[in-house]
Amino acid sequence: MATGARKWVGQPVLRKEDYRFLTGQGRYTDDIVLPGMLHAAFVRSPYAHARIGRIDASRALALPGVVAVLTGEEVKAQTDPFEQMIRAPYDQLRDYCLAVDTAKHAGEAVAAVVAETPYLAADAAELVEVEYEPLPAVTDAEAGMRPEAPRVHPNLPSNVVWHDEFHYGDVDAAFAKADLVVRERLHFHRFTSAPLETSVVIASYDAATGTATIWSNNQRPMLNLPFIAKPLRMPSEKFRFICPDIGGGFGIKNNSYPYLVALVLLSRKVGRPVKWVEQRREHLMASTHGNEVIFDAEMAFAKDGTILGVRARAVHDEGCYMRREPIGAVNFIRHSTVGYRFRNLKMDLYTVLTNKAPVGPNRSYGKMQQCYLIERLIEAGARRLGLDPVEIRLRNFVRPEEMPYENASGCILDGGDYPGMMRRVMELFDYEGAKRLREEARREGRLVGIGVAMGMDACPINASLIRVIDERRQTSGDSEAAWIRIDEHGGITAATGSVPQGQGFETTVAQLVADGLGVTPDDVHVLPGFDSASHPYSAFSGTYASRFAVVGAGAVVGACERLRAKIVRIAAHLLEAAEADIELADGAARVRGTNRSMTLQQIARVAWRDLARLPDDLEAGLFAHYVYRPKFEMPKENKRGNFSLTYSYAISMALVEVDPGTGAVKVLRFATVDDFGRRLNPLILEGQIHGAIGHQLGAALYEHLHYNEEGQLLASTFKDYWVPTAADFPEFLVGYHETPSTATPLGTRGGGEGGGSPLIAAVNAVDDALAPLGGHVTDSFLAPEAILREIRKAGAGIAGGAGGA
Amino acid sequence: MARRRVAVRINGRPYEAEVEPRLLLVDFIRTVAGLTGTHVGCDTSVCGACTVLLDGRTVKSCTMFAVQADGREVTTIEGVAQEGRLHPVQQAFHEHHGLQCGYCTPGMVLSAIHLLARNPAPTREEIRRGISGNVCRCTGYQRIVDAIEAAARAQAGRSA
Repeated sequence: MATGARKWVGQPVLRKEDYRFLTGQGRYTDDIVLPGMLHAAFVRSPYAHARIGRIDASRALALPGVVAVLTGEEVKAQTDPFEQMIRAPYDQLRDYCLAVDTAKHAGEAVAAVVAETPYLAADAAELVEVEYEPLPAVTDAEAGMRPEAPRVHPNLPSNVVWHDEFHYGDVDAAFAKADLVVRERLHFHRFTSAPLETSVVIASYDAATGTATIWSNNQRPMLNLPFIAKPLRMPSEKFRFICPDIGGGFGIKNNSYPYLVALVLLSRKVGRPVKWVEQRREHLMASTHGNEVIFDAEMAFAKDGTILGVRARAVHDEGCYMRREPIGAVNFIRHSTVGYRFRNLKMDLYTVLTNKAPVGPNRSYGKMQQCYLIERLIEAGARRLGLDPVEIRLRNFVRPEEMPYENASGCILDGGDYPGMMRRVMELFDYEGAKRLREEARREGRLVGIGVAMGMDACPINASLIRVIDERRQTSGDSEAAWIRIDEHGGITAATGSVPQGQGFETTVAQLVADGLGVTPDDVHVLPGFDSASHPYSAFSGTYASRFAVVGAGAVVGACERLRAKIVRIAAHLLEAAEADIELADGAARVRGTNRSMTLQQIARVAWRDLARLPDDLEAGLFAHYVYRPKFEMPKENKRGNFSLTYSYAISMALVEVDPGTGAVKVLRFATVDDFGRRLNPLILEGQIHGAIGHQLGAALYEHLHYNEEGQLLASTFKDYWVPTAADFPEFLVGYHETPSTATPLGTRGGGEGGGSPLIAAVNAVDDALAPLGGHVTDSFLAPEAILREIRKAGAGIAGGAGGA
Repeated sequence: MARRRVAVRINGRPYEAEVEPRLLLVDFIRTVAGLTGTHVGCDTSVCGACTVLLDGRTVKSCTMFAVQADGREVTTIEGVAQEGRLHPVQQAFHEHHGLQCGYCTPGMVLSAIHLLARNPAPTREEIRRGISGNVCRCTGYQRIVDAIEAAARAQAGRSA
């Protein structure tokens, strides 16, 4: 077998990268100090929407140690605006690295100062005087759709910058024959995965060569390169990107390219390297927020609970710039009907600008929102039909024997056993026991509920999805790159274009190479981080969209196959055997059935150093580079297509209790079962599952980026935006239901984003807890005030709580 | 602001400098002593990434000024492993996959060490409360709790 026996892949190998993190020797971007380095700070708008008048930096520049100031006027003169994906005339939306003409969200950067120390830069920023003329702000997306609404971008005819309808199957016929139609108005709230390390950028522009070197914790620098080079009017080959260790990304560090542009400008202006370290407040106000959506939706059922169809209007509150949107809105296509068989779906999407921070990738980007929509509608149907929430899902699941299954929007589900997973999670959670507990608790008047939810993460992303947004875009597919070298001493080095932020690639890549070449993971040195001068990359390189297990692994396997073929060729030549008889194991190439062998080190020495012994036509060296691409196609007719290769999925169950006095929710029991196909490293993968549960339960219970009517972000520090601690979570019961992917050579699926099931299970559970009172939850954020309102609407009859009716 | 002379012992070594009184202890550790293992994760003293031991007790070094540590002993993550040998807590974090991106890990390890010094046989509940001053966004905490339980067993001399 070309890829070698599977000895290391699939094992819970302990991580090679741990030592430096455990001993405080990780190298994060703020740990880097360059000679002559200066420090930047941003001046930010306190208003959600304001015309920017005079900027007087004289007092700042008068401070000793303050070197320079940069304003939006200079940015407008020196750079081109960021490219937009939306169609004309909305592609005239103007987005620069500093606010130009108007500030469009509270916290938008309006100017930048550079000083000798970070403290001085902060002092200087406070001394910059900006004249603002406050303007009316759009803080409600639906209000922003009205023609009389204030315009977020005055040069655009409307705040509705993109709209499209997606019609699969025959929705009208489905609704015409329905026994039941449920209607829900739902809100999916803004939150952020808030990595513990904020964004950091160091830029060093060298005027002598016209090159810029950037160190930053961005998750996909080479994918972002066009969004940096073109605005800066610099050729792409004049950039070097270095990603040191990254303290968490989760998508939030995908779109930090405006800061990358600003820092290059600053370095160019002052002629020295400049560093910027984002404050937590800035990160919450002005990095990236997760997609916020308002759904008006209906689901049609037959009376036995079979789903006939769904129609929904989705209004996306995009914030004031689109950046890479509307990908988040259109991402629904990538698993439009989640794990269910129904074939009639109409989605009417609107993306609306508001005076809030821009939205963008956030773990389970645009995917958990669609799962939330479908799962909440199913819950409504189950309640009305008097069906058990588990039973109604079992009735509607795509069946294992139907896999691979092409769904309504063209997604080809690559295997999976949804009913089997449901049975596993019921057992792990002890569903029957939980139901008994709930009945007992309800007899005591306690508000206890059970929720179940399915989530799905389609990965990786087929960029031809962008042609659905704008058919003129010349982009499609996905790719990742890897190289492997065996040097003349037998030392093995591997590198990929993946940009790790804690996913353990130094270990999993070593496992893949170990199996590919017949060595051990300890023999393989994997280059950490990313550096465009040394690492391989493709136009899509980076770590986002759960892609590594498919494209990163695919690239490593491809490079292994190339290298292996060469090793076998040389060994066969030197050992005078047939290539088919050469096997690689234990660091050597051996003629099968004999004791004739050569070590990889001996082969490498010949390949690099003893060249006359090579076959005549063979290139010297042992180095292989490979760019892997999944078999992705263009979109089909009617905006259909397989826009992902794999569809990982999970089912979660939650048992919750609601405090009738405070509206607070306690999760008493939580279980989830996941399937990401074959696991490269089960230990690392379990860590990803835990982390995703943490983010999603945190989002449902504690985390909400909410604005008031004036567009002020009310959760801009960790005191108001409560990131959960270990004391805020129950123990997670986690199981794994492995079915191999039918679409990938290793049977892996991308995974790790969570797909929404923990968040939705918590919401479903609270909805169930309130059901005996007739209460109903319509928001993905379980705000205690909202829960109390539901309880009070229901009136008296609650035992045991302070503040009951 | 007139500078003040401060002398702080960090991991057994003396560091002396003239600093602004407003210099935070975490910035003294990172930029004056050059020990970058102590991290900053927030600006409101919530996340614990900056946790160090001051005279043996955990403090958030972002919430102290360097001048307040004058004449005192600080232990940072760089001072935990002895002569390259990992502390049982560090070893347990490795064996139980108690870290992913590593950014919270220095503060988390020091909090765990301090927790086990006060309570050598904590329950999982007690561990969760004991590290509730340290935010992690990667792990969901479960494996960190496993690691600290295992470290407690190792330190008590029982087999894991």
